[in-house]
Amino acid sequence: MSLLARGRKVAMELKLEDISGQNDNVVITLWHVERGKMVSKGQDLLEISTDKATFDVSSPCDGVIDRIYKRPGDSVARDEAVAVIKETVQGGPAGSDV
Amino acid sequence: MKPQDIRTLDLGIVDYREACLIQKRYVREVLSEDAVDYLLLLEHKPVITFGRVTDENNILDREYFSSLGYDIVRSERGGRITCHMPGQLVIYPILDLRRIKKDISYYIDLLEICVVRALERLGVKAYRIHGKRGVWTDLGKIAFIGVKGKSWVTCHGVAVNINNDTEPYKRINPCGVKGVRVTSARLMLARPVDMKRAKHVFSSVFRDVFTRERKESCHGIET
Repeated sequence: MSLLARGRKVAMELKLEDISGQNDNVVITLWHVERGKMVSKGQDLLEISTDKATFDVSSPCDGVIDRIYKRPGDSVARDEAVAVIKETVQGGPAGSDV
Repeated sequence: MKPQDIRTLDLGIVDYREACLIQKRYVREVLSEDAVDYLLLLEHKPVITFGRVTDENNILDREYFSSLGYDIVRSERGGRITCHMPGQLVIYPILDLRRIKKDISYYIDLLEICVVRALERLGVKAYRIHGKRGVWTDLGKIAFIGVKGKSWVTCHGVAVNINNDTEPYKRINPCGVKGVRVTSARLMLARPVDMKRAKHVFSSVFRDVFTRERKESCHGIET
């Protein structure tokens, strides 16, 4: 599942797209990664659930998980940030803030 | 973008854990560019499955299921608790929703619509109920939904009671809800249904609906 990437040049605020009907409650079921971990583009980051479906959300880029805003059991609204990834640039992870 | 094929595979009676592995293989294939989508039709050996958000307290009579050799599996699919057994038709669409619409709720609506249409062609009057997922009849719930997705490619799907015994549903809280009445096509029609014909009808309806959806969305695919 792709994510919207917003923010400055090398840090991405991860926001779920409008993935389901407005009546569905979207909840984070689990994180596959922890803060500080390096991730690869396409790697599963977290799993979200609605009443009848679970979907894996994958990373849109190579980088490091800088912040996690939402924990398992938390609901996620449309356009709400769930985490920040610092995108990897040549020579290692970038250091700028969101 | 040109709509690709939806290929139907009849897997026969399959162990649930094995079916999960088979699905993962097809998900990987569909994730690869230009791959076709798949419609897997099968029946499961006796098994109780849990989705992510339920607990085992919804099994009300463990001895009953143990005596009948039911496996118990914690599944990756969405939804809560249900049971599968031969005689129940299970349909697992392995579809890239980027070819249709990136909306989980819309996809589940389509699954329910397909089941209602297919049951109608088998002579069973069934319908959807606003706010209650699954497919329903005047005698109770007849089809159960539980979906998994990875990068917008779906697996798992829907289970429809065709000829199977519905007694096991009295020994669980189906979908985590107490006292839900459950029925089958056999009970609705007061006669068994030819499973080969049922598979043909369901396959035909699912392929028609999803092929049409892909054609309608192929003018501008999002990635």
